[in-house]
Amino acid sequence: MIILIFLGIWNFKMMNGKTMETYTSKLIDDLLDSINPIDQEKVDAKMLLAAKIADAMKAKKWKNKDLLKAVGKDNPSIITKWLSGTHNFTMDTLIELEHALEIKLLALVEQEEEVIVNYHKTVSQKVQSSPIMDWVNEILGKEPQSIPTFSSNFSFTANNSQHSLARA
Amino acid sequence: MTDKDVLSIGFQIKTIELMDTCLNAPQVPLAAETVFQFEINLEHRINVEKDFVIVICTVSIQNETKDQLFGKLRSSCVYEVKELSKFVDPETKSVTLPDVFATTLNSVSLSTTRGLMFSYFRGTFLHNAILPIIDPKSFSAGKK
Repeated sequence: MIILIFLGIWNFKMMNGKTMETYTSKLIDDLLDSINPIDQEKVDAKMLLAAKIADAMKAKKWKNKDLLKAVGKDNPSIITKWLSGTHNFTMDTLIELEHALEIKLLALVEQEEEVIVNYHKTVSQKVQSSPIMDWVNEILGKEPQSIPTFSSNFSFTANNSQHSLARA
Repeated sequence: MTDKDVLSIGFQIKTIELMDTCLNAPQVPLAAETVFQFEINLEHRINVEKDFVIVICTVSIQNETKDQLFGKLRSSCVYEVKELSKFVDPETKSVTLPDVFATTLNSVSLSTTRGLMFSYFRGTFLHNAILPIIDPKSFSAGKK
């Protein structure tokens, strides 16, 4: 934990500095490698639960005392503990929190994937020429040089009281 | 299902969305009578949890030999279907909409897309390229 705080401070200092450097330390790398993936997952899950609870409280504009009241507890420090990201929640507490905050913290029911069904068909249709198609054909049938082009430059000046449009 | 069986499914269209469009001018002059190829793809995205079916309809208009794309339009129709969970097979957990219902969704979506296509392509060389009437039962289906 101390190392993580140190890393955080170091990163913060580096962000405020003018240049960014890549800091490597064998000691930190060794410590990070030594973390058991299952332990890491446990920490991640606790942090995620705390974040979800905090987000739901924020959405409801609740303070700690509001959640305390909603779950029918009387010790205010329990909320701080839940939000710390270190609390090992019991199933009962999670269900109570789900009801109080109207969110899902447990995903026991398997999520059904979206089913995709495709249909395919090709049809052909003979279409009579439209007047627009004639115009397109007329343009396509001519050489690019023979198509008349128009070009003009205009300058636009806006004054407080009058507008004038003059050919440049 | 026999003719006497009645299938009652409550559904309602919730949203129509124009997703993509493109228009490419022909490279060579078109004949007075041009054959357009309409390639139609319908995709059903079924979400049982939210009780809705999204039908994404993609229509590409190509020349007779299919080597030039004149125009393309992709639309989506979102349908809310009551009790969609009743079409889930409890053993395989897969969703299968009754053929009649899938055909109805295809039919409504195609008609809607025909209207969107006309609206988008009107005033262009594809003005008369109206999506033909197609038997919605004639589509070949494949599940992903």
